[in-house]
Amino acid sequence: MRSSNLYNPFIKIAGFKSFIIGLIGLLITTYLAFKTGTHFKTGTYFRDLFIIDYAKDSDYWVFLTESLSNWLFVSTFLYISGLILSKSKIRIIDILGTTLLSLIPLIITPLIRMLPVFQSFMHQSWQRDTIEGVYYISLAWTIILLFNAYKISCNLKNERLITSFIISIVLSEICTKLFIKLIV
Amino acid sequence: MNKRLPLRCPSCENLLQVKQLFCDSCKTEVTGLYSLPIISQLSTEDQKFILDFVKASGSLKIMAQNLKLSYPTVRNLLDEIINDINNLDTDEKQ
Repeated sequence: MRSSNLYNPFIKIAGFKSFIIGLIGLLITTYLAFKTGTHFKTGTYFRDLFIIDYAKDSDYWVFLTESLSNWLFVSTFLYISGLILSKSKIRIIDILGTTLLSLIPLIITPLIRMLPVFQSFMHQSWQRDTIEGVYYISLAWTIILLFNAYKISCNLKNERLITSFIISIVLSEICTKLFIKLIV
Repeated sequence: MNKRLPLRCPSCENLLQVKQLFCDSCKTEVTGLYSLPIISQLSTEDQKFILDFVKASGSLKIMAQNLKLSYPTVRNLLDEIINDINNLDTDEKQ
């Protein structure tokens, strides 16, 4: 596999195809997160953006809501930014599909937590540090993928691209957290 | 050998113009001063893209399939060519 396919597969895959692959990835990630009690979106404070938490205290629908709301808020904000800033005719299926595909690296953390050695651990332990390290690497990978998804789907460049991407991601994280606090 | 049409002056980098045309059949020569059409001023890759796009009946989906690229990637390539054509058009009018 060429390295560019790892951080920018959207040159070749977008639209409905990326939507289907991404949806399968999201459902598997959600199932593994449910089985291992891995929450991606439950931090209480603003500084807790992008934080990870562990608790087998919720029903499957809570994990599904976390995943779906995260994806839908990210997609919505990126789509709105694209509509405002892009001169190209952008398609919503490209945004929905490529952002969904971008979330696939998040599968790594719950996947690793399936290993017996990582299934239960103390608050401060090498297992927790390892999991958090893996999570932040997969999160960085996800953000790079989201950036390239937005860049290709909306045909934006330079400052417009970078600024609108950062604003959209931060707003979507805040909205996801507020939404989850509201309904869970 | 496929000879590439030179577009820019190797000395001053300005756009070249056509001074002479020649009929290979009857050996007629036409001399004058003609500007190159805008499409000829685009890069070889862009010209090929336009030809392929016309052959694909202007369908970006077919283009994406033929080039093994995603739809937005092909649309972005087309948008860049449109932008280049608009710039050349503006330059020509000035």
